[in-house]
Order: sequence, then C-alpha cells, then structure tokens
Amino acid sequence: MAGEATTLQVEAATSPLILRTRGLTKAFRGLVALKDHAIELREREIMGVIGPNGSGKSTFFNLITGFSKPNAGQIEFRGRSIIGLRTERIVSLGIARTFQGSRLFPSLTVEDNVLAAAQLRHPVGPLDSVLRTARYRTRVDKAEAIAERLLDLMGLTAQAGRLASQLPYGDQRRLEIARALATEPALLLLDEPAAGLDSNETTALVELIRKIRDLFGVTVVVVEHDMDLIMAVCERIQVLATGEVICVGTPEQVRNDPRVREAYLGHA
Amino acid sequence: MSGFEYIVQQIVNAVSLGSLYALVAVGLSIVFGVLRLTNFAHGDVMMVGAFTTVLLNALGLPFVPAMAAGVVGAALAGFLIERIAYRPVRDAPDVTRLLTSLAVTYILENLGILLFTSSPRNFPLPAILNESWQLSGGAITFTNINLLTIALTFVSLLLLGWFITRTTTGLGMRAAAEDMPAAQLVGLDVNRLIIVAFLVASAYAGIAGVLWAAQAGVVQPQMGFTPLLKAFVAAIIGGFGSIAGALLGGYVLGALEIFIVAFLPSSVSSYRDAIVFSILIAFLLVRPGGLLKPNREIKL
Repeated sequence: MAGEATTLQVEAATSPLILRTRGLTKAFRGLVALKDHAIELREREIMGVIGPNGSGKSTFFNLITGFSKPNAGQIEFRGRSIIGLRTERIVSLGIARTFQGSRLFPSLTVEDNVLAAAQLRHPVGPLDSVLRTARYRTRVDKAEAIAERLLDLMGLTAQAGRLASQLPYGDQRRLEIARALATEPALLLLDEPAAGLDSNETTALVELIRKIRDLFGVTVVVVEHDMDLIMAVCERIQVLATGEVICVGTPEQVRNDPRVREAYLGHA
Repeated sequence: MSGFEYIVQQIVNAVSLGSLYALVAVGLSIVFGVLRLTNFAHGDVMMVGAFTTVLLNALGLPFVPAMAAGVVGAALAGFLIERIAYRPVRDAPDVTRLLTSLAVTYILENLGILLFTSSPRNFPLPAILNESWQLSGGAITFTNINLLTIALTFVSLLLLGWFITRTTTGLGMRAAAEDMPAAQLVGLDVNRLIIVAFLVASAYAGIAGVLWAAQAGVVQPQMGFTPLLKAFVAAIIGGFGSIAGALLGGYVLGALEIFIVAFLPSSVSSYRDAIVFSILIAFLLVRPGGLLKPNREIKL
C-alpha cells in the first residue's frame, strides 16, 4: 500500500503541469480570504485542499472557476492565464466543479441535468434544434450516450427520469459529479463531496473518485473537512489556514506536521 | 337570449382576451426566467410589432406579410434592447436593472411619440377579419379576429412548449432559469441563451401587439402599457417566472375581467380594474408565490 502510493507520487511528479497559481490573493472588504496562494497540480493526480472554516478553500475554487476575480496573482491552466475569463469559457477549456451542498437543476430530470452539461462538447444551435438536421441527431445521440454512460457509472440509471430534487441526498451528490464530468473536463474540482454522507457512502466515494481519475484521466482536487476521505483518497494535500498555505505534502507528511495540528487545534 | 348562450358568449370573450394576456405574460416569464428581470419594455416591444405592421402595410405590403414583418421587427427590437440596455447592467443590483427597464420603456414610448405623435392611428384590419359568425340565431357572436387570436395563441404556445421541452436550446434555457451560476458552470453559453430568450419572448410580444391592435382597431405609442400591466398581473397570479403559470394566469385574468363585467351590475362592473387588483392583493396574501409556485417568494 505504501509502495503503491510512492509510485503514484513519482508518476505524478513527472507528469505535466495542468494548473498553477502564484501570488493569488483575494480580499473581501479588507478581509483577506486568500493570501499569496500558490499551487502546482499535475495531470492525473488527486490533490486535497484542507483547512479550518474560513481558511480560503472555497475562495480558491471560486477564483479558479471565474466566480470571483483575484486582487492579485496568476492562474495558469495548461500554460495559459485564465484570469478574467468568463466561467463558461473556463469550463470549456476543461475545468469543472461541484458545489458545496448541491447546485443541481432541481426541476429538471436526472438525465436532463447531465444532458444540459453534455451540450458543451456536442453543441446544437437553435436552428439545428428546430429543423432537426442530421447534425442535430448525431450530436444529440452522442450527448445521450455520454449521459447514459455517466449515469450508469454513478448507479443512477434507474433514476434517469426522476426530477433531480426527488433524489436522496447521496444520489444528488453523485449526480452533480456526473453533471460535472459531462463537460469532459481535464481538471475536476470537488467542493466538500463528502458533506452529509454517512461513513459507508464516504468509503464508496473514495472508490468513485479513484475510478473517475483512472477512467477519464482527470486531475482531481478535493476540498474537504472530512479528514478520513482526504487521507484515503489524496496523493498530495495542501493545508490552508486563514488564507495562507501552511504546508504541502503526502497524507503522511501532513498528518505529522506540527503546523497542521496547530492550525486545527490551535483555536480549540 | 338564454342564459346558456350568454354564458357561452362570455366564455368565448374570456378565452379571446385571456389568450392575449397569456401571450404577453409568457414573454415576461421567459425573460424573467433567464435574467431575473421584470422587463417593463415588453409592452413597448408589442408597440414596435404593431407599428411595423401598420407602416409596412401602408407602404403597400399585404396584411399577412406585414404582420409577419411586425413579429420579426419586435424580435429585433427585443434583441437590441438586450444588447444595448440590459447587457451592460446584467451584473448590477436589481434596482439598477429595474430602473433600466423602466427607462427603456420611456425612451421607446417617447421615440414613438416623436415619430408618430401620440394620437391613435387606424389599424388596417382586412375586412375579412372583421366578419363575424353568429350561432344560435345571433345569440353567440364571434369575429374572425377573435378566432384568429385564439388560434394563433394556441399554435404559438404549442410551438413554445415544444421548443422549451423538446430541444437542446430549450433544455439550456430551463437550466439557466433554474440556476444561472450552475448553468455557467456546466459551460452553457449564457449570452446566447439570453439572446434566444429575448428573441423568442419579443416575437411573442410582436404577435400579441398585432392582435391587440387588431382588436382595438388602433395603434398608438403608449398602447403597450395596459397589456404589460395586465400581463404582469397574470404572470404573478400564475407564479412569476413560470411559463405554464403565465399561461394559466393569463386565462384566469381574462376570465375574471370578462365575468366581472358580464355578471355584475354595471354600477359595480365599471370598477372592473379596481376589483381585479383587489382580488389580486387578497390572493397574494393567501398564496404569495402564485398558483403554481405556492411556496416561493416573488422576487422582482
């Protein structure tokens, strides 16, 4: 088990960079949410970002996906700056995320939730839609095939026709991951995927995240409170506290780092 | 005239009026869905459609092509309004956007008055549309324009339903209406969806504008105000932002107005609008989210 982790580690260190941030800073009304943040993500690695509440984890995701603009710093995705790009554009470059809690389209069906996302790579214009051209058919067929595959992977095939809001919570979380994957990303950001899940579901999520990485070759970043999940699934972990990076390393290194203990237990 | 025939006659009237309200309200709902904006200029887009029809008809274009051009003209007006006025303030606070929409209303109405003066002009309805049908020996009368209104509304709303539920673009619009940030996050081209929404909503306003003018017999620059206000009420009754709700609300309001006039003594029914709005207020106290959204708070 330890040997396996080391191999992955080496592999990850030699694979190309996919995302890099430097000097990334964001303040809200004078309150610094993220300060001088730097991270380097390599293709196909599973990285965890942890930290106490208010440590800047969600700010980090919001900056990368263009939901808010940094006050300073750089974000490079596959070597190009993505600062200032609209969210849609960033997604089309290959970054997908899920939200803390759930942000599904509640009154669309499970299948339509995924199909709405699959349009990105298989676009159909309004005219093609109305005229039902040959292009419309082939692209919709492709999108439907992708949706079918993703729903099958998430064990949601039987629920395809139900409204997203009618799904049990755990299923909603998996649907959100399926929807994110339907945009065919190279980098998948998971915002507290284990929140609200019981321990069985969390164990299954660990398997699922690995499977997703192996099947689709994506880089995965997990922001999480749940230490069990992070320690079990991540190859590297970055720890944030009050907006600053305090340590980066393997789960083992992070677990034994006194600064991490202090960050978590310091104010207890 | 027997009571039965009187009732049938009133139902025909109610469906005809309700169709117009529904057509306008549906457009308001489509725009509200993607922008969370009450588009007060929607009534003026109706005016653009009606005036385009009148002008082109005066220049010699036959009525039906002129009407089609009116619908296209309205769609174009909606497109330009979004591009010029609404897009720059899309991320601004709600109050700013609401005021922008009111400003567009005033600009369009005053532009209309400058170009055409505020006095009403005749709407050149072809004679055939003014012909009426008599049933039960004249007890039930409806004109061809009534029939056209009902039929055109029916067909265009069926088309809309198909577009929204059965096409990829429609799926995108439903997703964007549910949760705009999530829609952006799955890579939906929000700009394009908003443009499509304005084109579709404004085309429906164009149809409604021509039919409204045809029923009134005249066009004038402020003609959009009353239908806008009524459609706004209809949309709120149905559940603001819901397309099905707008449709339902349109017919409910049409029926209310017609039946108040038809069945209450004239001393009371001349207060029709006051009665309708009182009912609206009472209704909203009981069901603040409208008929179809009982639990959702209305946010303008």
